[in-house]
Amino acid sequence: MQKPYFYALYCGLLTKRNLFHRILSITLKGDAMILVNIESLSLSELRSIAEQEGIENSGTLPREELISLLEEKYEEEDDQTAESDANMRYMAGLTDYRGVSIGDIPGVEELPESYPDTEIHLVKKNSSWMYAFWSISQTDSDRIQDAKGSLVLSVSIENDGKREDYDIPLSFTDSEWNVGTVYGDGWCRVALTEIRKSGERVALAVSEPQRLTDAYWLRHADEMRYSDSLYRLYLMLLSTKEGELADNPAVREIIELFRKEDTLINE
Amino acid sequence: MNKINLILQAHLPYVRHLEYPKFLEENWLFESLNETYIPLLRKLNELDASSVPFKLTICFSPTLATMLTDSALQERFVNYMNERIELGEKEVKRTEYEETECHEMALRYLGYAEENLADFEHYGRNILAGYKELHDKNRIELITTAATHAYLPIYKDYPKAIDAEVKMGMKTHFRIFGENSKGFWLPECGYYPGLDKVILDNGAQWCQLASHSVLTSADKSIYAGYRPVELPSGLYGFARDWGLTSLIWSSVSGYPCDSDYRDFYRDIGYYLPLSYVRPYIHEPEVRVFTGFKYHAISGKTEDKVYYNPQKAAVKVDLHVDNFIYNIRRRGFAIESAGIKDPVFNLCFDAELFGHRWFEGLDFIEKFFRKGAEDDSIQFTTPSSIILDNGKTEKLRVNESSWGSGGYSDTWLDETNSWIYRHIFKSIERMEELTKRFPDQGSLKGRFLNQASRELLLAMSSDWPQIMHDRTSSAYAEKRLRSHLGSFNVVYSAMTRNTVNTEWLINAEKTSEIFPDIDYKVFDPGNDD
Repeated sequence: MQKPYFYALYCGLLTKRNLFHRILSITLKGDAMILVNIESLSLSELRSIAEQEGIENSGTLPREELISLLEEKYEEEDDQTAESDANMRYMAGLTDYRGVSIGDIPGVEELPESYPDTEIHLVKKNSSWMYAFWSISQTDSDRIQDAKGSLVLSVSIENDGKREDYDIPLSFTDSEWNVGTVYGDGWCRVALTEIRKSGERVALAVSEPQRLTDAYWLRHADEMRYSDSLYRLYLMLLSTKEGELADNPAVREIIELFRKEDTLINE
Repeated sequence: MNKINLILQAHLPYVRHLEYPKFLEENWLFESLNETYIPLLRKLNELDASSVPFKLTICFSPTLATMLTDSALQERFVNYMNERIELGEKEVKRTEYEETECHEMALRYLGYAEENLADFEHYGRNILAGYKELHDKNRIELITTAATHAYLPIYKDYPKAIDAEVKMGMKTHFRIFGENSKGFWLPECGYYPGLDKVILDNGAQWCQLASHSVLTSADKSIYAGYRPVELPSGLYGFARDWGLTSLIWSSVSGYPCDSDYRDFYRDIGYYLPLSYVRPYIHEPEVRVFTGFKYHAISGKTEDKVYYNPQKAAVKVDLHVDNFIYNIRRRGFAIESAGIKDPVFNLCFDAELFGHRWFEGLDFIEKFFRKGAEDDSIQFTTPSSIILDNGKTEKLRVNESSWGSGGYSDTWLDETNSWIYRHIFKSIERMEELTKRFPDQGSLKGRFLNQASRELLLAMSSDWPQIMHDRTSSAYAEKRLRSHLGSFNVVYSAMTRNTVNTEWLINAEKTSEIFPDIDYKVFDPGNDD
């Protein structure tokens, strides 16, 4: 089986900076993705990533040094990316006062870390990821733990009439998770589920369903070879004079498919 | 004929701190007024006086429109301008003897400041009156956006909060401009399926859309974004042209990057002696922008050359010609593909022109003048395109935005995702309050109305955007906590069925926005 972190990096689903700030994506079941904390990586896993990234002597460096070198490397890469990103716009109205902010604002209060309710929310982040966050009441938490039960995040994805359900084990201190999704005509929903000692499942809170991204051209690639002039029109709207595409993964995927068809025709 | 919808979005978050003699972030408003909103109005009036057949669409966000009509902020802007004039006079004298290469620009800056202040006073300190005159002459189309410019897709599970943002946006526009807005600027181009119906139900006819929304829609687009899109509710969508806007927008290769243009960052506030600039920066001795900038971009180097306005003017001409050339070339290709009268939707932040890109207003003026002489170009507004009854196509557009990646990543990342836990809870509590106190007048009604204001202000897209950009994060976070904290004051008091009158009076004075808000706008059972 492929090492999960390589899968995440390979798919380009997370930026490396994100990865090293907090989270790492791993495959759980099929192509479903979950996230774990960077701190949970073993030394050998860190060494494998470092080796892949071309860091010398990665096999002999200690854990902290490896993390530090990798962070440095990814930050440099991020900075370079930012400089050459044609999609970045001028943040026109809000001058950056170079980190300076004057004055306190009356009424600024500490917000609670969590709320005394058991509830869950799912927010669509992009075409590949949804962000789930939840809170669990102290009463629920104590009751489940007293009864030796456990918690899972139940993920349900329905796509083109096919339903997939899977669980992600949670600790009682977890409060957020990123859930990987795919393109298609369907939706994703998450639930905070109690698993009782007997194996019985009880939904404590269920999110609203969020739609998947359903793009016509990703379903009808077969039509592309007959849509040459349309392809050129799309390109005009969505590419810079240097040929750089608008910053969107679905656009890149569709244009890539069009290009393949174009190449096939020319062959 | 190539139909050009130039759409500018003028927006700033609501920033008003009268508790301080000066407040740094209020300069966002003053800089934009001095460098964009007032000189843009002057340019448009000059074009009108020259009978140039220009058309322009401008969205003044409700938060910005409220600040522009706020007498206390107007007074503070006059003080700001008097300081610029005083500094300008000092600069004119200083540059006679040192940095003499800057003398011409010092004179210009002084002239602009005097002219801008005079124009500001001419409109009774309310420049929106000037824009309204142009709207009434059918030169520009004034439109609105969400009440506090909330990024709407993230709140879609809360239909009443969405409705409140749209409704208060439309209502504020009506209160300030005296008529309904036909267009609705989607904050950050943020769209989700179903939002179109909310906007249509609130009286608008069209909105703009992100560039990629057409190619990635659930239906096949045959007009590729060059004709209006008819969304499922019947609201019209105008897809932004990424190819053309990137000629300006791109921070890598856009026209504003030209080395002859004025550098935004090199400002005397940062390099002249403190003793000289002290009265024009922030106490205690915090260097900030003064607006007096004398260097050209000159490439990625510390050794900037002095700005030469004549050289920059030549570049503006070249860039306008290049822009028009690209439109014509594009139009020719589109018409060859069978799409007659293509519509190009060019959407920008208004503050890019003049404030960020110093020569940007000259670019707009020349674009209108030269475009008007070009037989293949017609300046239009989305509303005029709708009235033409030309071809449209029905599309089901996916969730999208103009943010990085084209979705919600900018407003939902590791820097800002924590805020939604609190905002969602506050929305739920606001809805709860409307149910528990369905018909409150007088003091309790005012108390609940204040809670609605605080909640809307917390929903502003600016706070997560600033956190994402890591620019003025401390301020953004304080503001968010302040609004949610104030909301909690009301919620806690109302659960005890009490009103904190002193707090209420103070809070109403602090946030003089949405005077006509009715907290029942958050009532899930209220279908008005």
